[in-house]
Amino acid sequence: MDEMNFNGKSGVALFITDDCPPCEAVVPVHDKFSKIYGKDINFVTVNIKEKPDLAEKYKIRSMPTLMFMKDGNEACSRLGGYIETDEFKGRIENVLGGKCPEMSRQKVTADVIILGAGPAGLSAAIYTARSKLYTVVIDRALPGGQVATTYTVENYAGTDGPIEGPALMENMVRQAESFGAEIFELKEVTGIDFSGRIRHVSTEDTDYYAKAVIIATGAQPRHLAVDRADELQGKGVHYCATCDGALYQGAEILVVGGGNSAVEEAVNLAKFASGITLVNLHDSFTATKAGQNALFRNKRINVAWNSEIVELIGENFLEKVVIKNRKSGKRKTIAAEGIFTFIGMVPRTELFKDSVDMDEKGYILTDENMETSIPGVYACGDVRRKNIRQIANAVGDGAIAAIFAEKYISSLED
Amino acid sequence: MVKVYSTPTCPYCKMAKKFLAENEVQFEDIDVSKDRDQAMEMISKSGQRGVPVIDFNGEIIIGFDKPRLEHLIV
Repeated sequence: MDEMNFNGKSGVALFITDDCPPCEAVVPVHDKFSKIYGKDINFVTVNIKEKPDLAEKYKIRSMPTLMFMKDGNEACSRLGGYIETDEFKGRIENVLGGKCPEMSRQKVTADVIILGAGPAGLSAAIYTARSKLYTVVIDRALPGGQVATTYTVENYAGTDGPIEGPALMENMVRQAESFGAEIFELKEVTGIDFSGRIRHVSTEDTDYYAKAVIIATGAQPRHLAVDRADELQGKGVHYCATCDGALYQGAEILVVGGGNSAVEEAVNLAKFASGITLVNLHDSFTATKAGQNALFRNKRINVAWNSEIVELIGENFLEKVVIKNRKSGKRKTIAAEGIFTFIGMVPRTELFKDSVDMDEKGYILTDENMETSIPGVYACGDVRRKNIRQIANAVGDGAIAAIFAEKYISSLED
Repeated sequence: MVKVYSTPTCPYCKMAKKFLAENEVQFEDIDVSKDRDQAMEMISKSGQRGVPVIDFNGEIIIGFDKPRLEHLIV
């Protein structure tokens, strides 16, 4: 039997943790209500540091969370973040009266909502959470962004030699969480409303509200624009070398692109593949010299300059690829089981296209304070229009966005 | 029985495994980068050479398809 068994009575459980400003705000309210309603409904406070099992059992993912129980079952939707006293009272009366609005949706009120937990979003979270702003980070996947799919990072400052992409991002996650940022992973954002003074972001099961929003949704790989590329995806056409590279041991493969990603991933894929043809549209690479040197030293990699893929051949799986030299017009058929493509990115901004200003490619326009066309809404990292997209400047963007978000929030309070 | 065909470095595999674990689904984790026979089994089952592939009691799920997994778990 645990604290949540209220002997058949209704109950209110408040889950809190240490060093959490919205927790400190709600504790006295919880105490006050326990005096008023204590004879009809049980009140309990759970510090999750002391009782992690209980938080796990009820899948409490953010602090504070108010959870309501009736007849041994959870009743009404949960409340989280900065909890309005009126709303808290209303829920208690709902539980006692047996009527609950919108049973399944949780509500979380924060200071800042950050969309995306890559380097930009996590850097912003480190700054806002450290400033004691209640910070919610929402990611469609697991935290880490594109870096989590990168084998090694060699040019990010302060890492004492090459670091694996996932390890670097785990450090950033831990740092953000250590200051109290709440990260909600595997949550697809389904709607946004930035029109009011309080901004609203909804996911499948939760409504989030905050004064400031930082968009750090990043970008996704641009797909190969050749017939049948989508049909053969996962059957020879790939966009993630760390994911699927190991399935091409001893195989002939192609890598497409000429930037850092293409050049570095070709070198990594050479650990598995027996031979690689790197297909590059131009007669030079835009990748760094260090990357190019590693590539040219690798005997397993050949470069097809000024070339593009024009045809994919294969029934159920990719078997052959036709490439064309753009200068000579000559076509060549190469036996290849796999193609790994790194030809740039497309920003993930579909959701924001009717709210903030963007360029023709869908990158969000900001000023140098990372503010978008809406005051209090910021964009940072790969999602914004800029010339260089590196971890280093994503982290820089995130810090700037966070500092100005903080200024914006305090200007509202004046 | 639930089998997850994965590689150790693939983030979508981690996501799928984490999701299954959170929903208390027991599964066998198969590292196809080390086991060639299992890799071939995965490719023949799914028609796919990408991971993750999940064999959920005979239903083959390609990639981390959360809605389909949710549907199967309930």
